[in-house]
Amino acid sequence: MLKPQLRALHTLLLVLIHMIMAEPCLARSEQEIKAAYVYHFIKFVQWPSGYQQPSLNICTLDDSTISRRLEPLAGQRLNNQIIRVTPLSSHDKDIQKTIADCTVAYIGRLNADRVTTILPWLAKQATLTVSDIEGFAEKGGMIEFVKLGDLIRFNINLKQAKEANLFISSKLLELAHSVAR
Amino acid sequence: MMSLRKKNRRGTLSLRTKLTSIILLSTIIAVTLLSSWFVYLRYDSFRATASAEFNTITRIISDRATAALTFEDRQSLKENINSLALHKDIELGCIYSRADELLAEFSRTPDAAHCPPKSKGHATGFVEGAYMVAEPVFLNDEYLGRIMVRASTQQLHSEILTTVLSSLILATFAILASMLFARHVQRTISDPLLELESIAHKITAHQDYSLRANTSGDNEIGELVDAFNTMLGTIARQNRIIGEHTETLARTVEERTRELAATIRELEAFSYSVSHDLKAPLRSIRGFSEILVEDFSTEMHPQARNFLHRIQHNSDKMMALISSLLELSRASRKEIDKQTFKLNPLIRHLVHDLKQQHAERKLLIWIQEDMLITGDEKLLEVVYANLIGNAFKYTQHKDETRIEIGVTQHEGLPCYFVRDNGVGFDNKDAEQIFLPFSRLHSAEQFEGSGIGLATVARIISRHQGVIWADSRPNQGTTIYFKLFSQIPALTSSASSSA
Repeated sequence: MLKPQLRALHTLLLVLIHMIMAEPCLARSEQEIKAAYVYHFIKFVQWPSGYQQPSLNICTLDDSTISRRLEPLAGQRLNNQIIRVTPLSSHDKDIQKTIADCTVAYIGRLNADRVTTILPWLAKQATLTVSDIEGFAEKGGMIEFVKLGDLIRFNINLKQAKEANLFISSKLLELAHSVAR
Repeated sequence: MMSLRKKNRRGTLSLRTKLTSIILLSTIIAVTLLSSWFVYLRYDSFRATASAEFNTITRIISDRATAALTFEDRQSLKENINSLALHKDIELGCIYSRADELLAEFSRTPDAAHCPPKSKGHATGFVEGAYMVAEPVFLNDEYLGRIMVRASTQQLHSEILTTVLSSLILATFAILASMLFARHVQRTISDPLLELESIAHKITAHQDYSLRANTSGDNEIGELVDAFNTMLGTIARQNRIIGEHTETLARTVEERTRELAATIRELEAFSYSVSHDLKAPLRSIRGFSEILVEDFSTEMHPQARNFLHRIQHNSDKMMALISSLLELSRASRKEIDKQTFKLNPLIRHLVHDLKQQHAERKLLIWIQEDMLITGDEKLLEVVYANLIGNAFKYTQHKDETRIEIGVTQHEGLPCYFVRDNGVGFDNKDAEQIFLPFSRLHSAEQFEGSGIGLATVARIISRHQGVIWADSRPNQGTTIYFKLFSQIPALTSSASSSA
């Protein structure tokens, strides 16, 4: 009985130490920042003119943490569109269909091995793909979070975005850690 | 002449100075207003340009910083704000987060200026020695933070100073140029006027109307000079005409005077010679009639004797008349021997003779003492003889004769008078009595030739004097006369002695 309790306590302590040591300046958690970044990315991305949706659908695939962080944005207006947050699961039956309705798709870390499977579902769709999966940009994703020391930065695959007819502002490109053209 | 030239000189300075100062003053006012306006416009435009420039720079930085601000990427913001180094006037650049936290700073001189920790309370505008831009950063109406840029206005001020200096130099040049221009222009106005003035002075000094001013130009001044010359011509012509007329007139007057004088002389000579020549035949008539009476009176019829007496009587009257005429003639011809003498002995002598002739009459005669007069003694004796004689004559019917002889003052000159209480006459005839042969009374009433007072008037007039009478019927007569040739000083001595 005690063992798992001690393990849990140990884990908690580790998490606390980690939080205190690793991110002493950041009041917000890494997930919080990533969620905010997703929201900010939308401001610097232009969807094709034919792509008119009444709502701005932010989907999360297998990442409830991010989903929870994004939830407060639901109902707000951005670029004259109402934000909708849709948490999705890759095990859903008609996931291929539902994911096609996403304006932004955040691919959760759990799908690290299935990126190449998932991304083709969004081919020919003007969906901005974001993920913190390592090598996501190289594998055909558009924005990939990278961690440089304490800072969270991102890589952009501009080529992929262009193919999806998405226009990413140069201002955002300037901030990117690396840009694949 | 000296004063005229001086006056002229003063006038010259005044006119020239006035003209020059009018032109200069208007130029200075215009130049000052223009350059002030120009400097103001430049100042305004410099400020507007500067503020527009810094506002634009800030907006560019702001636009470029939107993403970096969104992601609070300090590194990127720092790179962004550091690009302000390219504009050498910008001293300070600061970027603040949404929470007004200083995220990035650019400072040209790290020791001097630093960003304030908060952007709150700073606004866009000119502050002491600098221009400050404090602009919020928006991304699609979302407030992201604030950018502040501070630019030194030293450059601006030096540019404004340059403008002020250059407009000052320009103004100085403009004023100098206008001074030269004013000198030239005022000369074109003042020179002809001054020439007119100097010619007018010359004409006044030398009375030479043949002088002419030089005509200058086809303007109003030229017209003035022409008018002046025309006027001179008219004056000269009229002067000539007047001169000619005067000469003719003088000549005519002289001729007439000469003729008149000759005529008068002839007439006088004629009357003198006639009178004189009449005396001899008359004397013989008188003489023979006397002989007739003396030698043949016994044999004569009484009627014839009576006729002879009448012949004698009339001869006497005629003799008296001739004597009077001769006296009048002498009074006109005799040269005046002017001297100052006492009147009293002369008058006393005349009165004494008359008293003896009128011993039967009751006479009251008053003579002022110590009377002096200046004139010809002989002629003035004739005057007094006539005046006193008349006084005796026209008082003969009075019970008591009163005669006053004296001198009084009239308009600053001694005025001699002889007053009687005789028959008198109406004052309206007062002037008539001095004309020859004019008589107010019949010969039956009073004897007389009517020449006595005419002789008196002639003598007084030859002494540049006036004579007049003041009389009333039955109240007596006063004859006054005064001599303008008399020295007034004698008057006071005469009156003081009186």
